[in-house]
Amino acid sequence: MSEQRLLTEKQLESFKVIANLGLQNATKALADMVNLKIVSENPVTNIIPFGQIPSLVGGEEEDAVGVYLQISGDISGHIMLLWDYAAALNLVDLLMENPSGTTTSMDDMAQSALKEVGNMVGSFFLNAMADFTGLKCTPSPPALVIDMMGSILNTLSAQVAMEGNQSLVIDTTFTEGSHSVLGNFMLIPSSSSTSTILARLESGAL
Amino acid sequence: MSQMKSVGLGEWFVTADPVMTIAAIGLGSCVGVAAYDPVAKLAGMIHIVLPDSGGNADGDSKTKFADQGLPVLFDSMYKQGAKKERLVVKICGGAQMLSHVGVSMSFNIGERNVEAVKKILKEMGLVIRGEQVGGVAGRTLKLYVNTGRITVRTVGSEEKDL
Repeated sequence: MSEQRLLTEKQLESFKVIANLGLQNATKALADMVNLKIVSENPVTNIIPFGQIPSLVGGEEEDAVGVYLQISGDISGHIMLLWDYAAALNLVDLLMENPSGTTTSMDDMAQSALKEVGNMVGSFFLNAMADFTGLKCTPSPPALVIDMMGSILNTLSAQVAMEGNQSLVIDTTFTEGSHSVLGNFMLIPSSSSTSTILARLESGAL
Repeated sequence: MSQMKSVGLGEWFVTADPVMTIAAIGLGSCVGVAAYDPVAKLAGMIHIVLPDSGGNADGDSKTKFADQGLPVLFDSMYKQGAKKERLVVKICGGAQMLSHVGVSMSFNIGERNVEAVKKILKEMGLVIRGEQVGGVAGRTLKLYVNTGRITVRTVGSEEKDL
């Protein structure tokens, strides 16, 4: 296989620094919203073939909720927050300060709450990245979809596949306390943006 | 005991093994194409990701495109004894999962995938005997090799014959 490597090890390390800053900020945003101690578990920053994106999250046939934000500005790309259906209901209860089990369906109120989570978490990540790189970018309004986990990721993967066979993917799972899962966060910069960020890092401007 | 073979994004698979079930799980904007020859008892499936390679793809990545992937699947089936006039071909997928919620981007890949798959199958002289395409819902496509039964399932509903 003569597939060109997108990034050297050293360049990947630089992205891990940015990803960690972004995830710290995003984790804090979520923690403040639910008033709990949240951990970013098993963060991944790596070059991934588009076909493997669905397996980063797993549970492909499970009912799930996704909130998508498109990144535009100096950097373009995709942000997706994902929950299996039960975790989405649980998070809505936490946000509304309801006893666990109160929310039983994804009604308008529940959907708005999760969109707001997507908006906050995505914006906080992007702010940290913008501060560090001096590159400006903003998220679109959040779009929410309820479907099979695999289908949501399938659609995202197809979008990524348009830009190449592999891309830089930042992925983590937010957990709380006894490993109660509060969602999966995924950020995929477009390949041109990956180059833009690299050029910025290597120009010594930072 | 049946054995499940999951055909991932840009992958394809052909078998005559009757214990196998071939599946494209969680199709969103992608299109799954299932084909079965009831005489040769040969089954094949491909998971198309994008409509058109623009002639640029090579190696393993080419089967992600409708224009390059479909010939690979059917050539393989013909080589293993399938006959064009006997083939039962069914397609599903190509949903527009995010565009309907107001995101302005090229998530209409689904629609373009369906158009490309239909056009290329027609050019190849293949008739589509069943389809469930478009809309906003994700789907799982299955092909049971021992019977040739082809099914589709959407979220929150039962598996149905396609």
